Amino acid sequence: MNVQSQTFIHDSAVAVGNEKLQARLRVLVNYTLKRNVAFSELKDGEALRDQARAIKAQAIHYLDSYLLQLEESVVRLGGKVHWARHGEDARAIILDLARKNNVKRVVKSKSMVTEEIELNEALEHAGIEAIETDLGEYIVQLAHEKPSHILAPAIHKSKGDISELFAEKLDARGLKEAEEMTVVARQRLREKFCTAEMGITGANFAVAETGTIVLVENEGNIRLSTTLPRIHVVLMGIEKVIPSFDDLAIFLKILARSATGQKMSSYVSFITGSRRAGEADGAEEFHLVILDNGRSRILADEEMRESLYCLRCGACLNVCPVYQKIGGHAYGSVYSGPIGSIVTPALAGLEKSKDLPFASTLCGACREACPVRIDIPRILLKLRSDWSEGGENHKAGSPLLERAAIRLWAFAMKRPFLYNSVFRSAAFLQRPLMRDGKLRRLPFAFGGWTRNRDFPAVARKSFRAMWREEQTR
Amino acid sequence: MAGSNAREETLARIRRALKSDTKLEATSVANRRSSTEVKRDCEQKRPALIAQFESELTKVGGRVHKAASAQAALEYIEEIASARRATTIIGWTDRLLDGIDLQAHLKEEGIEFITESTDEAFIQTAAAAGIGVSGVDYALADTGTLVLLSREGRARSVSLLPSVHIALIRPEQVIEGLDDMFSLMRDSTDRDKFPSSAVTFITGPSRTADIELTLVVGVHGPQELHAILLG
Repeated sequence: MNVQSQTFIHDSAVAVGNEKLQARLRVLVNYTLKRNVAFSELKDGEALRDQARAIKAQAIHYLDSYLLQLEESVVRLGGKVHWARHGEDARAIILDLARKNNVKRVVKSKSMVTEEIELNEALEHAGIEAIETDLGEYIVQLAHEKPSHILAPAIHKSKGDISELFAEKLDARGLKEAEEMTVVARQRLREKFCTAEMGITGANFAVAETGTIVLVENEGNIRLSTTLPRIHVVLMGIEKVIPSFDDLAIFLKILARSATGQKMSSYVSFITGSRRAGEADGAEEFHLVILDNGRSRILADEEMRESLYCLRCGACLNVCPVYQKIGGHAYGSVYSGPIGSIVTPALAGLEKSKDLPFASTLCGACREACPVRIDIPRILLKLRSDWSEGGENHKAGSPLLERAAIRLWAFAMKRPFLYNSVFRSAAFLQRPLMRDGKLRRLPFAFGGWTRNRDFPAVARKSFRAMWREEQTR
Repeated sequence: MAGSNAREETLARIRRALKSDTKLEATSVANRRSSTEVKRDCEQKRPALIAQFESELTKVGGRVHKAASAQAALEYIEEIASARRATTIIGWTDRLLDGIDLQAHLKEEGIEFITESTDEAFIQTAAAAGIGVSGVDYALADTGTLVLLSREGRARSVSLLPSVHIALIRPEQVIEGLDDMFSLMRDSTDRDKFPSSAVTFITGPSRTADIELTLVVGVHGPQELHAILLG
């Protein structure tokens, strides 16, 4: 997976200073408010979250068996299953399908995993037109940008930006309101739907028992992508499989509520194979591409494994104080926000995205919001520790001096007398560095700690000393 | 090019990661009730369920009409068609209204009623039609959701391509919610055909909030959703 997360420190600082972006991001709170209402109206909401987590845990624990069962179910329906070790395999499979079927135009519905493997670029490179049909994705594609939010890909753009974009790229001028822009997009895209030979979608869930692919949406573009083109290709990560059809009742109750605060999204489609004899519409050919692309590495790490339970609902983004300030682009990856800070290092390598696990206050809002209760803060801490310990893959780790100092600190903490005398001297020694009761710049290898914030000064009197005085008074 | 190698390698990686081949133990956390039990329950609660369905669908922008008779339902359809100046209506092949030949009646109003069995190029016609009229398989009261199962005579395009979708609902189709539906659907479908090639859940008209999170109704799917509750 290609990422630009190396420049996170710089890009996030720029984002914080971007007032237009700040205004766009402020509306995110609406999602969270609606989510809270939708969950409070649900009876047994908390129990449903536990059940959903248990199903995901079951699916992941027996992943090889469920994937084989899924394969068998799809084949039984006359569909074809393709396995892809990495993005290159998946792109080759889909390009090959397109070429063999003389496909000139592909309609795509929003799918994180197709972004992950940069499928559009590969299709375009092969001379095949690939059109994003979700309104937000369409806008982002016209602008040659990347989505900045799982659910609202164009949240970083204002109405004015989009109006200018439509004037330039679609020759539709003078559009002021969101309604007018939507009408233009509908017309332009409807033409594409009616003429595309292939529809490519992701999958919210894939049911091992029946081979059913579940797609959740509001606009209807996914329904069109699966109904009109002759060929339907589904690209899914290995973690999307769930055991049984009836499990869907649980996921459908929590997914839309977590994502947008809706009780049900406008449309949910269960697609089970291609159209059957006598049916007038629906794809005639059905292909399922099952992609690993680094997910089996996450699976192998028991501390990371639960991140594969993610439903990609976006709730953790909406509640994250860091995401709320910097938006999705600064993360430099298709997967942004708290869950992105886990998935990106896991898929692209920690050396390329070392700052992401640190881009969190560990406040726990993401864990609270996650419908399947992924312990995101715990995994972020684990990744921080991995980085600081400097495994064989990333020798750098923390500066030696910093690591030595932390070891010394740990040594001192276990010895109260030593600890007290060190801090008494520190309270004295810090004076040249202090201004307004804060440490503005730490010396040597500790400079990073104070580059973007002040460090609290060591108090003149320790809490224990104050406590003793209080007791003897 | 990926091939059987990719399959074996991916499975091997997963097994290595899990540290073993797994042996599946059948489990399901979902609790399904018998369809007889569900039907009896819903029967008892039906007036309340219908009221709830109406209120939930209205909240998400659907319009609910109550038709005491098939004739009244026909009049609703004609009313909507004349307000939208629709000249072509597409629909399911099933007889949607008891004792009423929709095609003949609409023809009198100058409206062509087309189904997949009357038109070779049905999808092209559907794409140009102003209104689609379908039945439903279930109506879920607690979310205001219509559930449509695809099969011959019930093209998916009917509820998707025109900008107005009219759904005709029989009282016995209104059930409490998803749990009921999952219980009923399995029992009412032939085992080798379960589930249908497409199960479509429709909750209100098509919508987006992709521009500044402003709600806009009517993107790729219908802009208007009318549910006619038959008496």
